[in-house]
Amino acid sequence: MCQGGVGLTDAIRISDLHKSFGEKQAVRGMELVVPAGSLHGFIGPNGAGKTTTIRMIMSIIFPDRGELSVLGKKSAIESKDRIGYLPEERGVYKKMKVLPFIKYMAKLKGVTDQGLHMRATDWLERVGLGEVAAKKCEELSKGMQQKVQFIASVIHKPELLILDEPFSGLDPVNMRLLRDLIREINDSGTTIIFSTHVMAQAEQLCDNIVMIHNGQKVLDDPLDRIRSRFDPKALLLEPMDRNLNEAQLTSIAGVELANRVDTGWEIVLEDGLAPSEAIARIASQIETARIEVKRPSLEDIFIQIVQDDSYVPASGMQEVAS
Amino acid sequence: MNRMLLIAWREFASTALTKGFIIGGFIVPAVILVVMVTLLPVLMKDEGKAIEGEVSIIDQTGVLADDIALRLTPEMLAEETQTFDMKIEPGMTPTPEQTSELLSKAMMRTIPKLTVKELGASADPEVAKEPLREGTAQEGGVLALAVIDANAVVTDETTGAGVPKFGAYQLFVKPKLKDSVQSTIRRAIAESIREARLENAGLSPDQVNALTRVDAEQTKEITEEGERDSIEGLNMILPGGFMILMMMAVMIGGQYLLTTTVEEKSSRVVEVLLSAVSPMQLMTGKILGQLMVGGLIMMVYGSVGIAGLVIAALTDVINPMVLVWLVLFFVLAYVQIASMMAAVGSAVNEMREAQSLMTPVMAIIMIPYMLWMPVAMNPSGTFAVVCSFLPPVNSFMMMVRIASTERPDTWQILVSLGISVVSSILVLKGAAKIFRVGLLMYGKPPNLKTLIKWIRMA
Repeated sequence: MCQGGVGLTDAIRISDLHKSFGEKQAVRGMELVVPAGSLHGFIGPNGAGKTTTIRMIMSIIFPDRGELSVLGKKSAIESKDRIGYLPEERGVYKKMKVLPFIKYMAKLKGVTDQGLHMRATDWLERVGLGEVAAKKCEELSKGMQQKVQFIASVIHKPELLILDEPFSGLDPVNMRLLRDLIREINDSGTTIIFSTHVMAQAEQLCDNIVMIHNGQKVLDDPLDRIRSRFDPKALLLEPMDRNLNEAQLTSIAGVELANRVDTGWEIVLEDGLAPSEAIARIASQIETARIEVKRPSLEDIFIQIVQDDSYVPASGMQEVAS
Repeated sequence: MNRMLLIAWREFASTALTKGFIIGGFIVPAVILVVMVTLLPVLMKDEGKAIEGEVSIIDQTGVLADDIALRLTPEMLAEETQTFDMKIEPGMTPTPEQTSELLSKAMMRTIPKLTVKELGASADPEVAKEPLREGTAQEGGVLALAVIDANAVVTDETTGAGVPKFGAYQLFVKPKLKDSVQSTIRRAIAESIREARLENAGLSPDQVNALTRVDAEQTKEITEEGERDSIEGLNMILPGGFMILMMMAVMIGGQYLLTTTVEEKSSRVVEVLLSAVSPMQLMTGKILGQLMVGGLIMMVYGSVGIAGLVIAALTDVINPMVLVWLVLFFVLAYVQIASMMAAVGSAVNEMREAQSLMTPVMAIIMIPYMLWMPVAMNPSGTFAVVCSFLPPVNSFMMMVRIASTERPDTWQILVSLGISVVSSILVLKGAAKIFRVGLLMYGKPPNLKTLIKWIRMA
C-alpha cells in the first residue's frame, strides 16, 4: 500500500469548481484537497467528470467558476514543469524514434540536455524497452507505446503525477510493472492522482479514494475508512456438503438471504448482526470448509451510494441525483 | 520562448529534413527543369515522318503555277528555313508578319515533300475538290487545292480612291493537314502573287523590300550603372514572379501546418503536449516551424530566380530593398494564412474533414492570383492602391506593386505593412481561440458557424 501525505503543503486544493459544456454540467461544485505525497484514486464510471476535473487541474481547460491551486500556484501553467501527466487520450509522434520522442517531451518539461540521454535510456531499460530506443514509435505495439508515454510523463521527475486510466490496453504483466513503478514513484515523495473507471485497480493501488458521479464528488476518504463506514453485511460460505440447500441456511437466526455463488453461498445478514456472531452461529450448525466476511468492493460501495437517494455527497454537498 | 523554439524546430525538422520533402520540393522540380531545358527541345525537334503529297492549283492568272511549284520544292523550303533565322538579326524587332513566319518555321521542323500539279485555268474546282475527300493527310495523295482568281495579279478594278482592287486565292485542304504545311502553302502562293504584282507594276521586289523594311536597334534602358538591353515583358514578369514565389512559400508552409496539426490531433499526442505548453505556445511554435519551411522554399526557389538574373546580367533590375520587403510581407502573409490553417487543422479529426472548412481559406488565397495582372499592369492606379491596403490580400498586392516599374511611395508601403501587422495579430488571436477549443474536441467536425462560436466562447 502506498504512503500517505508527507506533511508538506497540499499538492492540490480545489474549491467549488464548476464546468459545463453547453447544456451538460460536467463538474458541479467540486471540493478537493490532495495532500502532498499522497496517492489519490479518482474513480467513477465513464463520463462522471474525472477527466474534465483533471484537465482543469492541468489548466488544459478552464473552469467556469471556482478556485484551484496546484503545487501552491494559482494555475498549473505556472508549475507545468513540476507536473507529470499521462492523459486518457494519449499518443506519440508515429514517425519519431522512441528515444528522441522521450527526450523531446523531457525538454518540453524543462529538462536540460545534461544527463538526459542517460536518464531516458535508463527508463527504457527499466520498462524493458531498451531494445526499441532507435525504432520509430509506429513500429511499437500499443502496450509498448503506452510504456513510452508513461516514461514521457515521469522523465522530468515531477512533484505531482496525474495518470488518467494508465492501465487501459495493458496486459497483466505490464499492468503489474506499471503498478510497481507507480508505487515506487509515490514512495519517493511524488503526489499521484490516479484516475480509473475500473475500481478494482484503484483498490489495489490507492489508500485515498475520491469517487465522482455525475460531475460531483460523492466520496472522499482513505480506503480503510470507506470500508469501515460501509459495514460488511455478507459472508462467503463454502460448505463441506455440496448438496446444502437454501432453506437450511435461511433457517439460521440472523440470515436474511442465501444466494448460490461459484464456490458456495453468499449469505446476507440481517441489519445489526455482527459478522463474527453470524460466523459462530453458522459454523455451529453447518459443516464448513471455509467461511469469511465478504468485504465490500469499491464497486459495491459505489453502487450502494448512487442507488441510495438519501446519501449526502462528500463535503456536505448536494444530494446525489438518482 | 525556449519551448516555442523547441516546438518550432521539431516542426521544421519533421517536415523539411525528410526524404519526401527533399525529393518532392527540390529534386523533382530540378529534374523537371533539366528535362525541360535539355530533353524537351530534342524531342520537339523530331516532328516525325515528313508529309508527302500533291498540291493542285487552278491558276486562273496563268502566270503563277510554275513559281509556286518552285517555291514549294523541298530544296527551296529547306533553304528558306535555314536562311530565315538570319533574316531576324540579333537586336532586330521582327514585324508581325515576320513573327508569324518565324512561328510557322519553328513549327515546321520536318520539310514536307510537296509536288505541285497545275490543273489548268478552266478546271472545275468542284471536280478538283473530289480527291481531297479521299483518305487522310497522312496517307498522302492530293493534300490541297489552291484556286487563284484571274485578277489576282493584273486587275482593271479600282477602289473609290483609285487604288487597284485585286482578286484573291482560296485554299482547300484535306482534314487534319498540319497547320505548318498549310501555312507553307499559303506563304508560297502569297509570295508568288506579291512578286508578280510588283513586277507587273515595274517595281523590283528587292527594292520594295529594302524600302519597306525598317530595322531597329535593341532598345536600351539607361540606369545609374550604365546601359542595358530592355527586355519586354520583364516589367510584368518580375512582379508576378515575386507574388508567385511568395504565394508558393505561404501555401506550402500553411499546408504542412494543416497536415501536422491534424496528425497531432488524430494521433492524440496533442493533450500530452498541452500538459507541457499552452495552446498559444504550441500554435505559435508550429507556425514558426512552418515559417522556416516556407522561408527555405522561398530562399531556394528565389535563389534560382536570382541566379537566372545573374546569368542574364539583369541583377540590377532588382533593388535589394525589394528583397527586404519580400521577406517582411511574406512573414505577415504567412502568419495570416498559417493561422487559419492551424485553426482548421485543430477543429477537424482528419484531413478529409478539413476540405469544407478550407474552402474560404482557399478563396482568400486565390484572390491574389486573380488580381496580380491588373495590379501589375497599372501599379499606381486606384485599383492597385486599394488592393494593396485591403487585408488579407494586401501583402501580396503590395509586393506586386513594389516589384513593378512604378514603385509605390514608402509611406504606402509602410501603411500596408502596418495593416498586415494588425490583421496578422487579429487573425492569430482568433485562430488561437479556435485552436484552444478545437484541439480537444473530437466527434462531428464543426462548421464555420461553430468556429465563430468558439472564437466568442474562448
